[in-house]
Amino acid sequence: MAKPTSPIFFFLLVILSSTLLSVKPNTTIIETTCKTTSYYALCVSALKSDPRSPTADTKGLAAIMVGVGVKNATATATYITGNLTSAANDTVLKKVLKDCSEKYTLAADSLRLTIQDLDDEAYDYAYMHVLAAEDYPNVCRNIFRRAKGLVYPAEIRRREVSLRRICGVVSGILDRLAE
Amino acid sequence: MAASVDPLVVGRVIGDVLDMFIPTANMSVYFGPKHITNGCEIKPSAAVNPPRVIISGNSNELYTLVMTDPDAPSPSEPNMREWVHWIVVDIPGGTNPSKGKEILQYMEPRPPVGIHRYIFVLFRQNSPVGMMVQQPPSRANFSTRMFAGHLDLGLPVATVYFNAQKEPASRRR
Repeated sequence: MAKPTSPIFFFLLVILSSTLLSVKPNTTIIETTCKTTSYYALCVSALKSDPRSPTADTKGLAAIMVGVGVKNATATATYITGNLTSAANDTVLKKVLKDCSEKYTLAADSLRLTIQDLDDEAYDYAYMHVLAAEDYPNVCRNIFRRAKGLVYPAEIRRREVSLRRICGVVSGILDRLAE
Repeated sequence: MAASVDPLVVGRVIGDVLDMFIPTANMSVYFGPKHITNGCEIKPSAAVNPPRVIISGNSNELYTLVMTDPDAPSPSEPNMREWVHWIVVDIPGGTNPSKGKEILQYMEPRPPVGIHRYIFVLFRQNSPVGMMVQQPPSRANFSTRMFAGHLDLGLPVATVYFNAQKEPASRRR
């Protein structure tokens, strides 16, 4: 009786124990932090691709995410300025692009202030600076919409949404820090 | 006359943001069905979109509306006072902000800490100002007094304010 069933029993025991051993003991800080934000996937992928993340605390993760925002906003400002040359003789478009680029630069500046606020653990200041950064892309969109004869470019819209989401993630992380 | 600005004095709207004035116009502000009365509490989630604002006056008069928060980032430490939420100019009397020129688009209240006052201030203009007025470069450290001074708007003709604080996480967007 014992002899024919024991290999099966042993086999089942091996499978069961290997399943138990492969269960992760904890979810990481990145995952728990990102769960409180509105854009979990964006949050996780942005943080996991930064080498400082595994050893960062929540405040550190916030700072990393803000840094992602600074890069994103700066890149958009540069992209928009790069389009100025192709605007050629269209003075209305040139003015709009110049104003828009400035807004994204201001967004980056605001996010840099946020990093300082995080260092100072002044989370309510950080929150307001992120709100400002999140608002500047809206201003650019409105500038386009108010200008006669201009269409709001899809690529700028894509970047607007991208920065807004990054700022949304930062706000979510700040909510955790402020609690 | 003094009685009708008393809540503004008690709420320190007069003092922190405005100087004493005599209301000479009517302004009604609604978030959804809720009519704003001085010091009433509004949930940020109810103020995501700009309110309905109805102003009195004749159509040949032009008005400026400013919405501002003197309690940024927190009422105990308002070092970003004022945080300006909305500026609309050249609103014809008897109409609403959608008929004016929006200088700074509406940003909903998102108080990080404490109870913030959100103040609507209405001015009567002497002349159209749309072409002269620039969008402030930053929403922080705005001065309604200085803004009115630059545009020669004089004292306010109507003001109303509400209070808002951060909602618990489950109620937010």
